[in-house]
Amino acid sequence: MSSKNEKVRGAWIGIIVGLLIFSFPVTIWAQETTQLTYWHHEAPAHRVAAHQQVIDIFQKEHPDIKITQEVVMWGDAWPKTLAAIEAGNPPDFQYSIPDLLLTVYRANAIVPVTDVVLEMDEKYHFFPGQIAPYHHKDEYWGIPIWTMVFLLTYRPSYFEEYVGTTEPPKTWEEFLDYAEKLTQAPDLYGIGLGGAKNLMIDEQAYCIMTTMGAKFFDEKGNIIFDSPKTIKALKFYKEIFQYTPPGADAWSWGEMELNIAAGTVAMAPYFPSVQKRFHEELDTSDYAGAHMPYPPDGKPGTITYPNEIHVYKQTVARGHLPAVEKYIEFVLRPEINYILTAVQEPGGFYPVTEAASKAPEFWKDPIITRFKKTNEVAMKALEYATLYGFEYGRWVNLGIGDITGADVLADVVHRIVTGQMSVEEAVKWGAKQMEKYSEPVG
Amino acid sequence: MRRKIIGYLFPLPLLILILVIFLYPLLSTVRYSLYDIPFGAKEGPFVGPQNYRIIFGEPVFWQGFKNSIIWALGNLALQLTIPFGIAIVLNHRLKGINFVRATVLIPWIVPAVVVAICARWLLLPTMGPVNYYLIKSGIITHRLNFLGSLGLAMPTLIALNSWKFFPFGTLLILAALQTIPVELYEAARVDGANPWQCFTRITFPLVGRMVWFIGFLVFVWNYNIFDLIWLTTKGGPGNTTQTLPVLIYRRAFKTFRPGEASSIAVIIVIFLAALGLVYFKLLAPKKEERVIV
Repeated sequence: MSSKNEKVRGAWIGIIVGLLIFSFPVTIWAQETTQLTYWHHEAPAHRVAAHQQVIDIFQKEHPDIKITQEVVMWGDAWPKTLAAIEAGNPPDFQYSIPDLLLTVYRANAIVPVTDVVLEMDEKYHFFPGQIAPYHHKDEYWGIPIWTMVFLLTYRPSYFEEYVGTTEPPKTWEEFLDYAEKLTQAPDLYGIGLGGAKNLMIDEQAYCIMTTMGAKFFDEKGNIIFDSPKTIKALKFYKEIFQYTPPGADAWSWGEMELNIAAGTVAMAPYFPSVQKRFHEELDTSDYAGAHMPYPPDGKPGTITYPNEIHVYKQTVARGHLPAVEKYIEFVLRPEINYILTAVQEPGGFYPVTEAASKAPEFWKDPIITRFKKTNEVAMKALEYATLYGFEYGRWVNLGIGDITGADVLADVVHRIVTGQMSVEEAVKWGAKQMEKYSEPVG
Repeated sequence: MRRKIIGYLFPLPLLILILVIFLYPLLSTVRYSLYDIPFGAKEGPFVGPQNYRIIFGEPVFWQGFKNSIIWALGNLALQLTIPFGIAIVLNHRLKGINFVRATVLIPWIVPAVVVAICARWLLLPTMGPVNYYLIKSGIITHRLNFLGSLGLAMPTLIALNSWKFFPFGTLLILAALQTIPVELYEAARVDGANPWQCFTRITFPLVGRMVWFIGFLVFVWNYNIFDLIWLTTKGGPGNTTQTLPVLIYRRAFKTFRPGEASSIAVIIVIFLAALGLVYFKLLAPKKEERVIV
């Protein structure tokens, strides 16, 4: 009996010791594994898959770092980000855009990433226009990872049929002429332009404004929206809007892409990302992109939207900053960066560094290759493209985030195209709205 | 005494739920309306009635108020009359009537987001099938911009929303119709009453109280609808479909003014509560309804 009891006792001791021995390295491993969480706002499945591809490669190289991506739709980005900050539980880092970055900066939630920016700049050379939106008070508050740019996208076959050339328009006069000739209602309309109160119209309108040199702010951050240049640009917008399909005054992104792909519009200022649909669904090369036309007293211009990573203060408190910096360095490697550009959204997301722009992995992507000329035009456009509120290489007005969030420019356009106000009245109204959010840096 | 205490304990979970889900948010909203709290922040300066002064001074608020009334009354008209007619048809013992009663529920089951997205595609002027078939059948001669036209957007949304809601009204009225004794109709027919007289002298008086009650519910529910409007027109074109709930969302989450948004919400609560008081106190039908044949 006592021998049996001794055996049982011995077995229990053995089990407990065994558990202790094996749990010790597991515990150590668990403690040494850094768990990072990041937010991004690219909800389509193929974009989420691209992020996961990068994560999987990164985790193979860094088995001590585990990363989880969380998707927050763009429509919820501002309120959910601010709510997370207020709750004291934001992600470790977030992919974002300059206006949202400004909002989180004003919430005093992020840390500068200057050291990483300078190191990466030396290695890979950022395009100046892409790094400028992040510079404030001698620090960089975000680091761009990919960028976007608007081109005048068009169907060359329609140009050939109705205009007699495949050459895109270069001036406003040609732009209007093309739009008129290409309008063969009810089956085809010259141009796809929106008139609703949403971000797409903010961007389309700015595309045209910037070719006139019209801006929201001056160098001191004062509102200069109500200007002859803005009025001239939006008068042009109104004039060419007559060649849009009926219902365009209510369009958002989905309707625009649908009409481009369906061939209902011959051209549209838009991201050249629709090339993916033309390649995968339509299997046609009848799609191209050109520089935006500009008037004789204007200049080349278009909108660019860099997407950056910013890092929260809580990340430092959690001791996660070194791991985040490793991730940032990783995704800027040209041979990895192409996954977040050509794979994530070919024709939509472009490199932000010279090194990544020359990476063979980027240019070998089948969609990028098929529309090579368009993508080369896009890379060229990045040299002069700007973003509203960030034209001066530094922050001039901290209210730009709220101005964009409120879609003030789109609201101005909406009032014009629906006939509620004249261009002058709408611009005056828009300037007044901007004053409500304005916070000049000085 | 013990039984009394146990009796109070039974509704306690529900009371806690009401407190947490209803009363606390309501009181928080009232509090927010008196402060100027930047979006995402916990604190802000106390400003008293300033948010209300701002809101009452804005034309966009009054336009939203007017739109809300038009929206609610338009929906009320469609959601009482059509369900009434359908319920009368469904109240008959016909072959397959149970199947029809089940299929009537389909619009109610379809989520609002599905209705909104499908409507946006179906009603597209250039590519939508609705315009295509209306033109082909000769009902219209040129394309209609249902959701983008200043004059058509609101009626279109009312029709969409009423399509989604009518099963609910139908079921409630059908339930009320089924409480009417069949013998009343038989006796009326024996006395020579025609269908219209049966309806006006038997059916309507006996379900009147139910219809009157549903009327207020329908008004309040529709007044507070946000999802269908936001997902289709976002309050456009030109604010013609911007009701007060849509304005609240825009003010809170697009222009980051939670104090002003909260004040609009409080105004809605007060308005609907006052309306309810008037409706139930002054407009309630008399309890006794004599059936005259």
